Amino acid sequence: MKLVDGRILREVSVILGAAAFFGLFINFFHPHGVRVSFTRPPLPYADDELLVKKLHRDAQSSKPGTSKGENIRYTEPALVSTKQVIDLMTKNDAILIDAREPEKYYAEQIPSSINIPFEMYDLYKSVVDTLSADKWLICFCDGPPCDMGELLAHELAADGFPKVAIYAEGIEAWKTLGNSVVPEGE
Amino acid sequence: MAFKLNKDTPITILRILVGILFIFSGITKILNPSEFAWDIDNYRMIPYILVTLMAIILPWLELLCGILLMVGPFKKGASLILLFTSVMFLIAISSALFRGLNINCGCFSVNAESMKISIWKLIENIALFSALLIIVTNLFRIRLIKS
Repeated sequence: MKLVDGRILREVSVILGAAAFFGLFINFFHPHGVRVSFTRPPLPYADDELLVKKLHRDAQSSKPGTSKGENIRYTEPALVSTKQVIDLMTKNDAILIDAREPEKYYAEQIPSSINIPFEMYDLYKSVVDTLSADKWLICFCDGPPCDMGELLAHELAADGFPKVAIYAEGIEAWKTLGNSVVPEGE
Repeated sequence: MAFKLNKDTPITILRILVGILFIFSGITKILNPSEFAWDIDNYRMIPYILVTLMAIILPWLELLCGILLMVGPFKKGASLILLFTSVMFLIAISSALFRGLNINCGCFSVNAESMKISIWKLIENIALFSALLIIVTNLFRIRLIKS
């Protein structure tokens, strides 16, 4: 039995070539195209001034915490660095939301963070309803490759919260940079 | 034109269903390649340059192979490519499950809540692999009988 002969190899080559051609050509003009690179691009953190301006402007015109539906405006979450997280927390302008599973949160957490596990978002609706629209809601999880923080941020934004941020580096980077974590109850 | 059932009808239907699935999968990824690149990168399995190339080329490969699997004269080549990609998906998902990664699968859509890596995603992909294996076996057996 000869599974792959010259004709099959030609077919495979033509399909691969066509996919590569269309992919690279369309990607060049695509608004969400991928930049071909050997290294990961740096994360596009939000501008510090924007973090301050945006919250006061948007907070007044939104009614978050309700279920998805009428009059809910989606505002794209901002990406924040560890320093920006610390600054916002110091100014009492933010609520840190841990999107990991409760077991992980109870074992180790960033001080003053609350837990809304992304995978139990609907169960935690009562907690979501208590969140303030006046503060930045900073969502995070373990850090890359975990993306629960990002997914939670999109859920909150879809529920109408205007000031949602993603701390993509997560708790691992938080610890690496020498910041404290505490087990529950401390 | 009357449609007649014969012994190849089940395989033809299977080819059409799998073809539609890959067309849908390819289009959703083509619409947002940067999200797909993010999903692939989250697996932390390949260098970033391959992540970008895969995010650009793989969706088109799925789209073209999906179309060719249904209608094309290149259906043997398309079925082999799709079988290879499904093996790749199986390895990636198994590896992510084994490492306990809580990430988006990036399988048939991007950035969707239902696309989180889970044992169900693995079962879905095993089913897809099985369907493709049946198609490939069938296509190549027909060729062997004729020769």
